Amino acid sequence: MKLSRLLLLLPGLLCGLACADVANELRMTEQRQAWTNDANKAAWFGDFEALEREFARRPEDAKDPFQRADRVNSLFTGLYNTFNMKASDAYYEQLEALTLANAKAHPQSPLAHLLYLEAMTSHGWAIRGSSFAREVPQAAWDGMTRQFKAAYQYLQMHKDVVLREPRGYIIWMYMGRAALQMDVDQTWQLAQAAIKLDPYDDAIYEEMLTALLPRWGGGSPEQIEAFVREASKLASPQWGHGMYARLYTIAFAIEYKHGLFEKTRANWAELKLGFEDLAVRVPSIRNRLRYAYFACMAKDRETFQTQTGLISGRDLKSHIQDIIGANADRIWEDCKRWGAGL
Amino acid sequence: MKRTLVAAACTAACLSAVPGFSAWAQSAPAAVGSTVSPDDRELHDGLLRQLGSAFKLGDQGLDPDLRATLEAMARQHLARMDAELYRWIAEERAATNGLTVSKLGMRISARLRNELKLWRVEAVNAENQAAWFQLLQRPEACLPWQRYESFFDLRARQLQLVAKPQRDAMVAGERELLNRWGTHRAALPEAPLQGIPEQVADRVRDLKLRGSAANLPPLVPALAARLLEGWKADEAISWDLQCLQAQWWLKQQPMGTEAQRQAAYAAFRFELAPTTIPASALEPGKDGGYPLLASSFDIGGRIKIDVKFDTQGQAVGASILSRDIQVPGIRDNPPLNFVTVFDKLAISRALQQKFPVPAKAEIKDGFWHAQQEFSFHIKD
Repeated sequence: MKLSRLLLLLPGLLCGLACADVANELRMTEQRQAWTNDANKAAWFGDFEALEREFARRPEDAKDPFQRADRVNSLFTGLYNTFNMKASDAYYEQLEALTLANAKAHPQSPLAHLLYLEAMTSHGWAIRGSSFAREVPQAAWDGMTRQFKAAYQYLQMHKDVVLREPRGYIIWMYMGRAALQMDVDQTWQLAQAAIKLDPYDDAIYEEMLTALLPRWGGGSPEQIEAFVREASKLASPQWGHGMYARLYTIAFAIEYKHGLFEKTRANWAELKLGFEDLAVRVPSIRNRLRYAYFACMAKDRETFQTQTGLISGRDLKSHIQDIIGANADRIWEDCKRWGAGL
Repeated sequence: MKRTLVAAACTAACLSAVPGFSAWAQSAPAAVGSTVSPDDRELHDGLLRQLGSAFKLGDQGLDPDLRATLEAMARQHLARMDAELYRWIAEERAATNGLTVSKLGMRISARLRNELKLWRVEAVNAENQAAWFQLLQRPEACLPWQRYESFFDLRARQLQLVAKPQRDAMVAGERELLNRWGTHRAALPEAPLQGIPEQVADRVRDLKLRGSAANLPPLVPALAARLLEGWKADEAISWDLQCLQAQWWLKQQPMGTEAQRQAAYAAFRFELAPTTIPASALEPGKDGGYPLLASSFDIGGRIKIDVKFDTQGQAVGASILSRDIQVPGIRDNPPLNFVTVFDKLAISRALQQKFPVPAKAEIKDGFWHAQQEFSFHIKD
């Protein structure tokens, strides 16, 4: 094929990739949104049977581990409105009583116990409030700790049922991080037990990573890098190198922002492999935008140009703002100017 | 407001609400219709269209089989009501000489609205009652966040939650209930003297005061948000929340004996039965005047109230002991759709009273009680 003909075809090929991203993003977003909405409604109206039905459908997704973890994680996202309402103790006491009654009625249901644990820990956070840690009064810390300790005791009493699910370990890790002063070695042991149940559930790795981040007192940049590499290896049959990129995008979002490469041992070559695998396995505009922005941070102009050439679709601006955070428009424009060699 | 209460002429859009309307409307019994005046015929047609909108099914989300069955049922019912409405008009004309079309319209409209209420309050038999009772206790039976077009559509979506063959039996029950429209019902439950919302308000006060010591079943989050946190408190309560509220109330009722179960079930169904009455129409009018509902439908009656006084002779509480309500146009059955019309007015009048403690008053824990009757007459 002549070069000129190839060049004529190129925009079409690129559009093909970008269009596939958009279509897949839309399909996945709609599916996740549907799961989340169903869970949101069921939780808000106390319809635990509907939540159980949704939770029990995971075996249908066995052939697609992404979908299996997605369904559970979307379900728990759907609980957010109900379990994180800005409300009084009276509201949370009702929520605890309701979920406890449900757990007593269904003692063999891991989800029923998990919902009660969610209610107890959410009540703890409501007592603490959403202020910066330094502004939280001691009485509020004490109230939160009481709630978390009670939740921990409950988990221990029912661990034979609760720990049948990775979520059981995840909530244990979360309690350890937020209020029980668990060290990272203990947290890693729990994470490993959860990974044995489902090595492809990204929520496990996310929780472990969060525990390692400086804001939770966690680990050093070397420990973080070692964990991310290990996670990437464990999840690789399904994720390829994708987990490496996924975890550093989380570290970027909640801790390091634009200083990611300066403050961590993140390896750009590994990240590129990871983003390439994500693009194949879970294509989405947001992942491509992250790839492009990371390339900008890593000063890899060629990759930046390639990725921005593949980006199109609706709501681009809001995705950029969501991913980059404060001052996103200006930062993105700077990247584009740099990418164009200006 | 009044236009929504009285039998106002329905817009042409109502016609399209009734599946197959034009086909059966054209085959309306000409022999009956031809003997009435043009005004009465116009009234009849307007009421029929209005009724049709109460039987409209939503476009989406219904099983095709169930939809087909219910549409056929609605067509049959509306065809029967076509003739029945002419009969009701003739009855009213015969009962009262010189009735204006407007007054006639009010009476027939009142009767229709009462039939809508009776339809939901009564059950075909014990088996049918038990099936509905079981269904209505499920959270999804409250149709959270679901849209529905009419009372009939709401019912259809509840029926869809039931698996066959029980669903078929319940659908047959609906047909039987619709066939009872216009007939005398011998076994209707009594209207509860205190509504579920008022009882719930008492319980919530207790819950706020005593917390878990109040020993009440837990509220579902949507209800806890509304009742404890004041979520959307400035808006009228939606039907789904009203339904959840009734479910919460039901969990608190004693169910040890058959009589207790029947009483709880009757109150529960009464609460969940559809009503065409906006809450504002039950509020006392300005300066203690009649509620809009009473003046719109010329309703009169008597309410007997137990008034609780303190030792200063100030009324501090009131509860209804009995009601005797008359609604023009409703003869064969109790006017269940309208029985609460004077409740708020009577209670507010009772609470405004102050009397010296009578010599023979029995004072217990600092309070004494007196029974009083309030009469309400409509001046024509």
